[in-house]
Amino acid sequence: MDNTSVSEEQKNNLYNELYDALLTGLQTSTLSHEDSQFSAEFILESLDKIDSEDSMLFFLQDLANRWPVYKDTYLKYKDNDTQKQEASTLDATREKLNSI
Amino acid sequence: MPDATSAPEAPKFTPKEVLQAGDTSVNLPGITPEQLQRQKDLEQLRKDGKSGKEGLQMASETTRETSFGRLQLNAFELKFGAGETEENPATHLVEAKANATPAEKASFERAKRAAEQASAFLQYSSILAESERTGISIPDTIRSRVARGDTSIKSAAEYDRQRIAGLDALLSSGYIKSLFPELADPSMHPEYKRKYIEKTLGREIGLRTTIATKFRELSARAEALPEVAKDDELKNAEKEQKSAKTKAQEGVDQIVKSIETDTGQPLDPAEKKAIEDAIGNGATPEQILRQIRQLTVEKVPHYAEFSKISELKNRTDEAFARWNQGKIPTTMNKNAIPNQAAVDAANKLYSQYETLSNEYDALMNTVNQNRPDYDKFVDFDRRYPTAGAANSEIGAKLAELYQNQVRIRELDTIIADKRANPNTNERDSRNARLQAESDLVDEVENIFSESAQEVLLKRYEQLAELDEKGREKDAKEGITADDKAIAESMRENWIKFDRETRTKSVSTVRIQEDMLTIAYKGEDGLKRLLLREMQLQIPKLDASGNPIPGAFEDLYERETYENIDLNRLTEEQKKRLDDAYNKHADTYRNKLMKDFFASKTLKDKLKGWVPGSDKLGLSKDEWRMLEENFRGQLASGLAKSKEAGNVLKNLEASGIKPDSKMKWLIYILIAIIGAGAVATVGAGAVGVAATGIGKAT
Repeated sequence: MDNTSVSEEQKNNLYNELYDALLTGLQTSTLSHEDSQFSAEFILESLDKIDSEDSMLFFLQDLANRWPVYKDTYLKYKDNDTQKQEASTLDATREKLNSI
Repeated sequence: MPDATSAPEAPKFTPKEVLQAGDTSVNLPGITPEQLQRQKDLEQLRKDGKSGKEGLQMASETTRETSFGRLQLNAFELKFGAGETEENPATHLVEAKANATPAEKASFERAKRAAEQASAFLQYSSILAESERTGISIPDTIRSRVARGDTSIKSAAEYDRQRIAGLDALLSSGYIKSLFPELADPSMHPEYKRKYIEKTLGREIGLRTTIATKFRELSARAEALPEVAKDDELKNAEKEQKSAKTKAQEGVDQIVKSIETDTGQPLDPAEKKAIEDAIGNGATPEQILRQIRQLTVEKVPHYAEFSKISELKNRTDEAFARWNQGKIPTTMNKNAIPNQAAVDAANKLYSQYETLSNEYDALMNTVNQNRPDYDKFVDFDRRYPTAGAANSEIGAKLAELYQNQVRIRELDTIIADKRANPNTNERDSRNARLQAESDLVDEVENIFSESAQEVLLKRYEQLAELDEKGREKDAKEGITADDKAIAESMRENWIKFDRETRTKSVSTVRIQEDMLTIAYKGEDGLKRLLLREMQLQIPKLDASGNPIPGAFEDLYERETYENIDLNRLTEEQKKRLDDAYNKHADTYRNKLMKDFFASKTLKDKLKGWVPGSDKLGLSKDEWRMLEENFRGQLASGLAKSKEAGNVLKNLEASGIKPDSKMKWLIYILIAIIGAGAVATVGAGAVGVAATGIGKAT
């Protein structure tokens, strides 16, 4: 992830994933009703304001620290970020090799 | 292991299984049917194809199940005062028991005050946030919440009260006082102070979440407060007293219900309380029955007439008997001349009888015309008698309650005596308990300070991490040596943030010096700081002003970088410095100010901060100079922030012209909060992009 902007579609996908995580939390009793309300509020107050992929990752990290039911979502996005960074490094190396 | 004779365990289902079976009426441990219904509704939304955002909007609505309210507060407060507390059944508020010692009462009162302040803030800010998020007015938001069963705040007036209590508590917390010492100015209107904090830190979801989480943690710890080791006699007396009080309350409820059923009308609170007080004060059954008759028998229409019947009948019968006795015998000789006096007396007696009899007939006429009322009167008169109370059902109940009350008073004496003369074990354990309560309340009282500090620290860390990522990205994309040097210095100079260990080392001397440089010298000072970071090689001059071969000025020296003649730079160096200034000046200045703010406010949370050694700070004049020197940047930063604009507008509306320091603090604070990850690193209200604060180089 980086400072590239986050599209509405990306945000909507994230809303869906987080809502599913909330439902799973309630179904498995790993999230109390009180926390489901609080975390939903936290997500709504935060996600619309996000304008970069970096900030999205920070938000997810913060969310997962507060309510572990969202940890899987955070880890998934973090993995994507790592893979993206590795791919970018690989591209840069390939470019350098080609230029030699 | 259960043996063959033990009862089979009830099958356990997850809430999901229960919902799948469509049954929301069963009782699951710790889960109410309403909660199951809420879960089902949320799931249905997804099945109906609604978006995650819509689902979250529904989940964010507070209901009776999710609101922070009286129940949580009461559960917390009951744990204090060494447990010598009880919920008042009439008000549903927790109170110290009458026999609690002064120390127990004081501990309870302190815990209650601190908890209610935190609660006031959570309740009010939750409504404000919902209103801002949905665009629905505060009164309508309250109405809609009440309709959903969240009655934590029921009216706009209550909202105002909670808002004032919550914000005043936040304002009086130690950290906020040190953050905004100017808000301690007694000439400043309290509402202005509230608006200031509300618009800056108060509306931050991270703060609310942190306070709520901390409060919940402290509540859990309150559950585990050490028990007082009471002796067995005291324990038994308290147990018996508790059960006797429950019995008394149930008795009151039963009597009230019986009256309400009989009369078909609810009693008003004062009437209920009068019965409760009479029983609680040990009134006799006869006394209480007289009171109850006023609420029953005496309320029947024509009570005044009906109540005379019995007496009037007696008097009529007596008059008849008297006349009967004194009348002239009918067997008397017809020619006999009756004694005139005897005749007169007999006539008088007859007249008396006749008057009473007419009165009685008139009364019976009323009875016949109002038979249902009379029947009710007779029924009530029989069931709520004053004479022979013990023979009636209610009389027997009141007698039982009277004896119960006598026992409660005996137990009061036993308990008071035991508590006044505790054994060593009990005394020590009570002291330990009160000490543990005091420690816990310290934390509740610090909840605002701790939470605010935690939120700002987290925001600061996220910004630092973002800066670092930005620098790494730039490094990959290729930057000049000057860019690199400046980036490096921003990372190392003031607060050095270690991403691995998440520690922050602070150099207060360097921060203070650099803040003074930009305050006094403005843009020129900023340029000179960049010169220092770039470490351009400027030949040293000898006494005659000629360059000394191989010797260069030490640009780390404050004296040097602040005063060196910039005309001594070569054309190429001048161009490099101008380029660096154009590229990095705003970011550099903002990072310096952000670190200044963080090190001034986060203090001991930062590695390297030594208590008492912190001399950070600018005088009023220095803040003014900073504004004069960077007026454009300050104005444009504040103008781009809606929140900052609102704070300033509120200030002006309150007739207060914010001074330079306050403007800068708003600028920095909102930049940190707005840029934080309430989700908005890089965006937010003021936003990194708007101010340049925290923006990666």
